[in-house]
Amino acid sequence: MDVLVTLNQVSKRYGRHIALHDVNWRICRGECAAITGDNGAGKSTLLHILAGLAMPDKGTIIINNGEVSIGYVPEFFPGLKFTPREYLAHMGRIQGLSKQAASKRVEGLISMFQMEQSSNRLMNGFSKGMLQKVNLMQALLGMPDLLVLDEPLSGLDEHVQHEIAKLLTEIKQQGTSIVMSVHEHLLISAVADRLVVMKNGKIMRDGLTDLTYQRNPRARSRVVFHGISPEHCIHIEQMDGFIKWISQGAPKEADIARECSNEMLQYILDAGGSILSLQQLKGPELPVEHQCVSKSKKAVIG
Amino acid sequence: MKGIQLMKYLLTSFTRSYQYFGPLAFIVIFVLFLYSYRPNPVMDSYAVTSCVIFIGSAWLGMNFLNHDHGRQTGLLILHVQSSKLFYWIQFASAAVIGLMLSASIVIYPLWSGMFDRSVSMAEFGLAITAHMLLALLGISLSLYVQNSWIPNRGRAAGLLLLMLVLSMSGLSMQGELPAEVRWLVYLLPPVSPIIEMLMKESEVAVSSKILIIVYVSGYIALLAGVYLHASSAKDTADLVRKAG
Repeated sequence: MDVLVTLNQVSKRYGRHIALHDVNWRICRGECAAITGDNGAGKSTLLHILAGLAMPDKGTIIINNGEVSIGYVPEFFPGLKFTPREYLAHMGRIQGLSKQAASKRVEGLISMFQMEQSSNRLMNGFSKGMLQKVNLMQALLGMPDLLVLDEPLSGLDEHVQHEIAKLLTEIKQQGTSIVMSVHEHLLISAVADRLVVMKNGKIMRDGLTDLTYQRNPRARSRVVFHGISPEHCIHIEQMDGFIKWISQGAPKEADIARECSNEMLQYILDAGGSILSLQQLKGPELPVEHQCVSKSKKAVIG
Repeated sequence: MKGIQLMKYLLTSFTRSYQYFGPLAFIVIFVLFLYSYRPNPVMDSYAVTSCVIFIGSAWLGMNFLNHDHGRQTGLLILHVQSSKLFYWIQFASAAVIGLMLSASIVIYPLWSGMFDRSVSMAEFGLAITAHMLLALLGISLSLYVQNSWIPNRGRAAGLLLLMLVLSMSGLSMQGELPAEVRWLVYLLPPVSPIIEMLMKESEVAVSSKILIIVYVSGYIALLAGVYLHASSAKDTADLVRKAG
């Protein structure tokens, strides 16, 4: 797996409030992770750190070869006194694109987002939905490897929500990784591969969504082991067959694809580790929140 | 290249916001009023207009720094990929406006023949330097009262007003203060030494003029440098949250 960004033991504090507490997390190329949780759970702080808008007080952020371009979509986009075409051209030039390259990219985005008719109108008269499209377009200008979205459907009507969800699916299909904080089930069910549940600055659950299991119905095993170095853990993450960490403490616990378990177990032993248990899992283990999503999905999509 | 494009965006955005109207109207009306009759004394008139440019630039600077939405500021920092570069360019853009206004204010009475005598090159040089320094000083002060530093606009405006009054009073307050705290006036933004230098231009030695110019330039560099260092060290997300 090609890991784009890895957060190791990341903590962030605002005054007395601990926004993030020793978070270990990573996002791989082509993946789409939806982060959910109550207000103040730490979702926005996690996104700000991923986007480079905030620095952690503690912990490290490892970026793949230091060359991951990131686009950020804030929750609300202001109605500026620019037309989308002018605004995007300015942002493209500020990013360092030549006049021709910026113009070509802007035209491509306007066409992709079907904004031809409103691309020469000032944005201060735009609806929330149209502003959100421009918001997405500005983040996509630099063709980012990772798109970070803060509640992209917030305050939008149902029709626009479906439009944005469709656009995000297209963006994902083009190979862009997506991390987004969401409250709406629509995006989790339609776009996300992984669902991350946060509470009090910690990641409580991080698992595949049921759609992902349907697409990748590999039988899984859960292995519990200890005694290997963090470098070997990173190697394990990159092996084909690794699914996810259940616990990175001591002992470590991970879900792995059953057909690859022999290779994985051999690697753990070769790296000097000890296997404490190996358990075959029956099916996808979904978080409680996501079970609700599954039930409502047909109604939303259908 | 990125910096020039950013400056272009910031100046276009400020122009479209119309937030320049208040301070610009204040400067233009005051200058037109001052020169509504002729002839006028050269250096005394320049001393008055240097005060006007100081107040106007501080007001203009505050409006310039606050004219864009906080979220857009965050996006600009991400697009330009350097908060340090962003804050430099933001300051430089405001400075460009201040310097252009300074030049216009100094040239206008010469161009329209408002003085009682001809102006020597030395006087012209001193006047334009003084106006530019005070414009930069006003903008440097406004850096500290922008929304992302003081979210309450009323409090920020009050604080700026207090700073402007104290700066202009400066040396004249020295006599009123107890001897032990008299040195405090030297910590105030050095507006009064510039005004005094313009008003007593013929009496002040060249070395003293140079000293005053260096002192004011250093003060501006210190204000801008501390601001740029502190801003770059802060989380952009935090500044965006405060600016709204």
